[in-house]
Amino acid sequence: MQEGDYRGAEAGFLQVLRDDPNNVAALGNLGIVYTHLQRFTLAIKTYDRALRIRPNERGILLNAGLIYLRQDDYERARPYFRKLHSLNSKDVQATNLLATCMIYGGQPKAGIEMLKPLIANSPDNGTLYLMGIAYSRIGMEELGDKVFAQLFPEASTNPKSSFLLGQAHYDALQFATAERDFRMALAADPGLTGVHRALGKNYLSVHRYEDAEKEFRAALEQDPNDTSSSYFMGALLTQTDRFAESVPYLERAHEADPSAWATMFYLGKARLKLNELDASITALKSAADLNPNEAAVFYLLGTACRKAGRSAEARVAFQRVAELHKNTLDAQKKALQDQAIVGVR
Amino acid sequence: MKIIFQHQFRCATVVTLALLVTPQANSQGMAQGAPPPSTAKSNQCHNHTLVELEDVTARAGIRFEHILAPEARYIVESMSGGVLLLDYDRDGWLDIYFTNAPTVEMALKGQKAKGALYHNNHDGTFSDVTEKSGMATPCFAMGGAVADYNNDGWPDVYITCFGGNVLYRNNGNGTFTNVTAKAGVSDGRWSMGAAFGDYDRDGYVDLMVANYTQFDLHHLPEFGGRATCEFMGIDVQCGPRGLKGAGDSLFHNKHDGTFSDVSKTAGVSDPEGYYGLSVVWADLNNTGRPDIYVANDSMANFLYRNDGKGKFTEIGLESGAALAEDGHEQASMGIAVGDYLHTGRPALFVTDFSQDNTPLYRNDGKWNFEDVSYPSGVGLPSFPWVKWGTAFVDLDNDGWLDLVTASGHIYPQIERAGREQHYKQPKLVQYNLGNGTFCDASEQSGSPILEPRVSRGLAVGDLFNDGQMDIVIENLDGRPTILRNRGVPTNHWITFELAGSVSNRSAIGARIAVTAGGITQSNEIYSGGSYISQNDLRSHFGLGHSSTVEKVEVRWPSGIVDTFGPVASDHFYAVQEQKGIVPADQIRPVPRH
Repeated sequence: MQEGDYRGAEAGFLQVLRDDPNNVAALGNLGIVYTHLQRFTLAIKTYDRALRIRPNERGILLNAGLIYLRQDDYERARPYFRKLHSLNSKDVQATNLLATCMIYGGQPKAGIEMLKPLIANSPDNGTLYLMGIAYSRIGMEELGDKVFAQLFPEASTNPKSSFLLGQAHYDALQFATAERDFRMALAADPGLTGVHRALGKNYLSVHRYEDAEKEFRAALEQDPNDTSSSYFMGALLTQTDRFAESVPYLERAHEADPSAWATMFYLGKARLKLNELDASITALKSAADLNPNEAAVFYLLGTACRKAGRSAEARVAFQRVAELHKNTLDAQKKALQDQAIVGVR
Repeated sequence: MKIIFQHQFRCATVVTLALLVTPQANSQGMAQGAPPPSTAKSNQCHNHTLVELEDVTARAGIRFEHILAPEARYIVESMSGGVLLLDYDRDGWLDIYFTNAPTVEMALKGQKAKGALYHNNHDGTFSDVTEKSGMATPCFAMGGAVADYNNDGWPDVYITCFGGNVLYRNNGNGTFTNVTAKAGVSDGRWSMGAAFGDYDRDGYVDLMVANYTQFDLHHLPEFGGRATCEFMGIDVQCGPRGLKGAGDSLFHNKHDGTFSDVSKTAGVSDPEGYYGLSVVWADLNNTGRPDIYVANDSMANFLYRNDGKGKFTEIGLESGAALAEDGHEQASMGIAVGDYLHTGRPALFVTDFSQDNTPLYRNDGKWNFEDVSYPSGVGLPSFPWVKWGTAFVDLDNDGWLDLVTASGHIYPQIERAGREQHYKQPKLVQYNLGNGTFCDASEQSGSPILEPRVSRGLAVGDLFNDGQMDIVIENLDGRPTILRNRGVPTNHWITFELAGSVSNRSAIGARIAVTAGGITQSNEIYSGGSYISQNDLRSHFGLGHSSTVEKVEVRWPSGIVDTFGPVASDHFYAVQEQKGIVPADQIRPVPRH
C-alpha cells in the first residue's frame, strides 16, 4: 500500500480477511485502499463493516466521515463525526469536522454552539475560521469580519492574505466582499495562482456566468493544467447548453482527477444532449459508481438509458432515484425526531 | 443553473478547513432549485394585445376574508385558501365558494373558520348565501373539488380538510347536506387536493384525494431552531420535510351514494407518504382513460398511468414529468393542464417554490414529457416567487392558452431575511405566442396583477357570461381578488356546457376539440387542479378572428363521440351526450323547493 500498489494491497488485505474476517486493521486499510482507488461505496461498506466490529475506532470513523464530506454530503458525514465527538468532546479535529457539517449543512447556529467550548480555550485557526463563517451565515457579518481580521491581518497589504480573506468571504456567502478581496489580490499580484479560479467560482455563485467564464479562461491561460478550472469551465459550458465545447474541458478534468463524480455527471449530461447515448451512459455509470447517493446522476442515467432503448437499465436507475429520495426523506424525519422537534406518534 | 462545487480535498488528510468548505446559498431543508441557465430569457410582451384585468372584488360585493395567522408558526396555517367555481343553482351563472381555516390557536380553543358561498346575481355582483347553504363551517378547510357525484344534475362539493374531509350533496334548492359519513369519503388525514374523475368509465365519478403530512394539534412541531425549520438562517415553521407524510386516497363511486376506498388495489395509495398537494385527472396519452397527476411538495410528482381494470402504474420518473429537468425535486404546489401547443396532447405546468422555475412539461406523446420551462419563456419570470394556483386560460381569446399564476411566500418571517424576498408577492400573466413560447405581461398588466398579496388558490371561469375568462384568487392576507377580464373586442369565443347521459353527468373527463380557422384546439373537463381549487366546468375556447366553428367533436368518457358543426361563435352551447347541441334547460335540472 505504501508503494502505491493498491491493487496488490487490495488482494493482500482480502486474503487477510478471508483468514480473519474480523481483522479491523485489515478492514481499515482496505477502506483506505478503496478510497485511493476511488471506489468510495466499497470503502464506506468496508469501514461500516469494521465499525460493526469495533464501533469506536477513531481512524475509521474519521476516514468514513471524510469520504462523505469530500462529496459535500454533510448529512451522511455527520453521524461519523458526531460519534467521534461523543467519544471525546475535547477532540478538536472531531469538533471542527462536526461543526463543518453543521455550518455548511444549513445549521450555522448549532455549529456556533458546537465551537464555543473551543473558542474559550485558545482556538486554532481552523476553529476561528469556521466561527467566522458561521457568524456571517447567520447575518452577524460584523462579528464574522472581526474573526477574519484576526486571521488575515495583512489582507490590505499582502496579496496572498487578500486572497485568503476573499476565500473566507466567499465561504461566508459574502460574494460582493469576496470579489473586492480577490480583485485587490489581483491588482497587487496579477500572477497570483488560484485567484482567477476563485473569482470565477465567486461569479458562479451570483450567476454572473459571462464573468465567471472569463475568469476560468484566465486561470487556464495562466496554468493550462489547472484541473479545477477545467472542471468549472466544462460544467459552466454544459449548463449553458454549449455541450460540444464543454466536452474537452471535462475530459481533461477527468484525466487529472478520475475520482470526481461531478465531472462525469456533466460529461454524461453533455453527451446525452449531444445524443451520444452510449458515451453518456458510460460517463453517468462512472459518476454513479463514484457517488451512488446522488439522485440527479441516476435520473440522467435513467433518462439516457430510456432514450437508448435500454429499458431494464432505465428502470433500475429510476428505482435508485426513488430509493434515494426516500432515504433523504427518512433521514429528515429521523433528524426532527432525534432533535425532539416532532414526537413519534 | 446549478454547478456542483466539488472539493480538492483528499481523504484521511485533514489539512485546512478552508479546503473543506463550499458555499451553499440556501442550505435549509426546503427543496431548492438550480439557478436559471444563462440562456434563459425573460421575454416581455411586445406588440401583443393585452387584456385589462380589472380588480372588481369590492364592486362585486365580495366581503369574505381568509383568517390570517400573522406569524404562521405552523405549516397547517400556511396551506389553506382553495377557491371553487361552480354553478350550484344551475342558473347558468358561476357562483364562488371560498374555503377558510382557523389558526392553530383558534382550533385548539374549538373555534372554527367560516368559508363563504357567493351567489352570482347576474349583474356583476354576488350575494353571500353561506348560511343558507349549510356550508359555512365544514372543517379546518383547505380546498376542494366540484362534480355531480350522484348524477342528479346538481353539482356537489367536496371540501378537503385537516382532520376529515366533507362531501356536500347539493339538494337542488340552494342548500347542501353533509353526506360524508354515509359516502365514506372523510379520509381523516390532512387532505389538500381533490379531484373527481371516472377512472373505470362506469358513468359515475370517482374521487382522488392527495394528502400532505401527518400533523397533530396536540403535538405541535416546535417553531424554528433546526434543520428543516430554518430558512435562509431565520427560524420558520417546520415542514413539510422532516414531518411524516400521509398517503393518498382513491375512492370508487358505488353508484348508491357511497364510495369504497380502492387506493391500495388501484396502486395509488402512496405508501411512502409523499407530501401531496394538488391532484388532477387528465387523459395524458389519449387512451380515453383518465390518468392521475399528483403534485408533491419537495418530492417527485406522481404520474399514475391508468392501465384499465382499476389499476394504475406510477411512471412519473420515467415519463420525465416528476422532477426538474436536471433531476432535482421541486416543491410542487399547483397544476395546470392544457393543450397549449394544439398537438391534441395536454401539457402539465406545475407551480413551485421560489428560486426555482415552474416546470412546463411538454407532452411529446407515448408518455414522454420534457420540461421546456426555460426555452418556452415561462421559467425565468416565475423564478423569484413562491407559486401556487395556476391555470391555462385563453385570456385574449386568440385561440392559444395563456398562463396565470398566483404567488405569495409561505413564511411571514421572510421579511427579516433581507434577501429581497417578501411575504406578499405579485401574480404572473404570461401570453402564449403560438409558437411554443410565452411572453411575460405581468408588469404591463397593472396594479391588480402587481399588487403583492399572500395568494394561494386560483380558479378561472367566465363569471360574467361575456365570453371572457375571469380569474378568482384566494389570499391569506385578507379579501380575495376577482379579476374581471375586459377582453379583446375583435376576438371571438365559444363555450360549451356539457352533460353526460351514459357518461357521468358533469362530463368530467370529456374531451372537446373545436376546429375554426384551420386550427384545432382541444380541452378536457377537469375537476380539481390548480392549487386545491376548481375552475369553471364549462369549456371555453378563444377563436381569434373566426366567427364560425367548423367542427366540434366531443369524446365522452363513455367512449361515445359526438360530432357537429358548423356553429356560430360568441355563444354558450349546451351539449348533451348522443344529442349534440340542446337547449340549456334540457341539461339543467328543475330546482327543488
